Amino acid sequence: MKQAAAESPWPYRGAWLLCGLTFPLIWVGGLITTTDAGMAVPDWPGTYGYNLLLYPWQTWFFGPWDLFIEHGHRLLASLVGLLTIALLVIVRRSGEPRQVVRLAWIALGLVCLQGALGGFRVLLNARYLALVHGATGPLFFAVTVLLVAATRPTPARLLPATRSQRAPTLSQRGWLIAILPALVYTQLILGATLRHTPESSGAWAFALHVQAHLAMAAVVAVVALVVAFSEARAGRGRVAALLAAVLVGQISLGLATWVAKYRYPHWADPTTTLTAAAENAPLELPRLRGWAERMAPGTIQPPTAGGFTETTIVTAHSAIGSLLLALAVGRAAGLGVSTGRAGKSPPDGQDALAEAVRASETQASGPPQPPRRESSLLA
Amino acid sequence: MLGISRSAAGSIAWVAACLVGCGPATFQPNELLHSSQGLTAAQSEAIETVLLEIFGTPAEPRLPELLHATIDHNNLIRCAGEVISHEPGVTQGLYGRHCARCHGVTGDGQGPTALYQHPYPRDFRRGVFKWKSTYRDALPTISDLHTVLERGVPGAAMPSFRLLSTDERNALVDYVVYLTLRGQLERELVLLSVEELAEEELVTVATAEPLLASLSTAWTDTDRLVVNSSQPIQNLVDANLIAQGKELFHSELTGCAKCHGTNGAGLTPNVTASDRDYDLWDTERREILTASQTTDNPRLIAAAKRAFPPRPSWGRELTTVKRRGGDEPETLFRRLHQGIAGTTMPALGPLRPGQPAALSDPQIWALVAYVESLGISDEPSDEGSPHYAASAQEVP
Repeated sequence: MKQAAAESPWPYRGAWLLCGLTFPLIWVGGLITTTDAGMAVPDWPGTYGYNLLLYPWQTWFFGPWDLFIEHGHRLLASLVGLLTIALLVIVRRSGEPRQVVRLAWIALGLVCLQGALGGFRVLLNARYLALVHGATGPLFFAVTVLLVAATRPTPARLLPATRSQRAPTLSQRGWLIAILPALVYTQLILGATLRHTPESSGAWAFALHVQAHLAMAAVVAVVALVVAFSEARAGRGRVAALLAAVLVGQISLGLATWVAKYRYPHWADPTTTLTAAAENAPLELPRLRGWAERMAPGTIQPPTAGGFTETTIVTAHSAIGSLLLALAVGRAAGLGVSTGRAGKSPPDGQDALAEAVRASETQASGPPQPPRRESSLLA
Repeated sequence: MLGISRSAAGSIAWVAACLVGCGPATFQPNELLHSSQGLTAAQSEAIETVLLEIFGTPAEPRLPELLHATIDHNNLIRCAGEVISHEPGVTQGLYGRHCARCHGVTGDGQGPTALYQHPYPRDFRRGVFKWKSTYRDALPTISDLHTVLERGVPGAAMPSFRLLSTDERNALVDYVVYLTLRGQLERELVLLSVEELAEEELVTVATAEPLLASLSTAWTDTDRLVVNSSQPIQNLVDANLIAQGKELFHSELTGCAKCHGTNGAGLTPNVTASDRDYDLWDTERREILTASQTTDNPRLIAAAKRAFPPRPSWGRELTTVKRRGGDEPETLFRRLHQGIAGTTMPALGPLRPGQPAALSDPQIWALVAYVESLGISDEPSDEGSPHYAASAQEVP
């Protein structure tokens, strides 16, 4: 590998830009599902007969809301697709290790697949393709996180390990970190099936999906909290705090999503339990009464369909799920990595999750300036 | 609790449906009604054929000539089928986009999300609506349906659709009327098959048309059946009026406190399982579930297994919660006057003009004043809405 090429900061910057743009893209995609705006533009790849890039911006910008977000999603997705191509070119020309180039190819393949899925979802007006499209987006986001980790120009860059470099065994904690991304992704798919349940589906089928989503939420929460706890004990307090905060935020958003869309279920309605409890447990009444007065579902106004609050909560729940996946993938990337010291964990605070922490801190101030690489550990 | 086996079967069916492209949505027969009335497969099939002939499918609805005065065909087209826009800002498939996930494609209140909602979403097929301005047994006015769409139902999952355009709400209201008429006609045809036709005699479109004409007329007559007070709205903060209302509330004559508790606190400490009330829809479910335990009719047993669990109705607590049907004095007056259709909340006024009643209009106003004084709702108005005051004074 050429020394000059290996020192190029552009792969890292490009990966950062790609990752940073993919998250809002996922957010907008979730917004489209929340507002059922996926068919606001009935053709593809054009927009109402126009070339995507030549659609009159006034009509787009000042037009109906669903057109605004659907066409905006397409424009942003096109930008992400072009950036992915550019990143592949950059990593190839920069002489990056083979693993990084392979990752960039995977990203390109995924983004092409994702675009095609989105297109056929429109052309066929097929809701199940919207589900697949929604499940592929977070996968691509996770790959961009891996690209950031793999192109980081430090001695502890997190390249995917080769077979010979891979650690022979994982500790119990390591296993939990390794399976967390799979658990979170499974949960994302379960959530996507809930969001995309067809209108003609049966209520009992939907109920099964709800139960599966709740059960997997419990599993993910337990595993993520154990991982966060172990990270804290290992001295990675910031990483642990971020993981726990995103998890708690996501669970809260999940509960808020349910209440925003469906209000309280029968068994959780305090006015009902209040009255039912009166039959057998009159002594419980004062306590229930207090709860009922504060939290009774009847004390809140009906939600506004398509309103800002409901839309934001539901979409945030969808998008933060992807963020949790990204964090889990980032942390797991620190397990089977090559840092020049095969089989060992990267130095404290230098793993991909820490990278994600920095991401949230530096996103507002633009792409970070990487330190000059001293050597390429896998070259 | 939910039956996992039922869920699993439904889920497998859903996954299978998805694998083959989800398939077109179809109107489902009222299986509980068909099976509980002992219809043969041929009778059910004949009814479905007639309904298909008259009303079409969810993707391609039909509007018979005699419904043109009730429903705008363009509105029907706009609500039907898959969600799609063929020009910017004009969305088709409005019912699927906004309503079907709760109310179901057929309007049976059994959409995919309905099971976990409390209360269950409205089943349109009986033509019974709770929140309306008309006499208890009458259909709601078109304006009533608009009001529910705009306001939503506090405490229930029904949201406010005030962000939709007026055109879109008009279209949705027309589609709800369409689904209601379809469900009403289905019920009439089932009863006709059971009560008047021989088993081998099947219903036809010709049989159905007079029934449909009668049902359609009922929808066009609703404005005549709006309940109006015989006197203008009262001063609802008047202490004497509130005291009178309180006395009535706790009297045997009205029986309000039996369900709503002393001072409207919603406590019913003496309620036992046998005393529990069920609304119209849950009563039907209960009866069919009970019947299914002693029958060997496999169709009825299967229908009962798929039915939602019946839930008892409770008298609403009046001190802390928003009224689901609205808090305005004139709305409360009508609710006390006619009760709530489909529930055990009785009418205190006459069920038709000129009929005897438990309370006079001034007494009902006194109850309104008392109920208003209990709630957390907006401050009661001295004069009420100008619209209502004006219309009330026109009533002789």
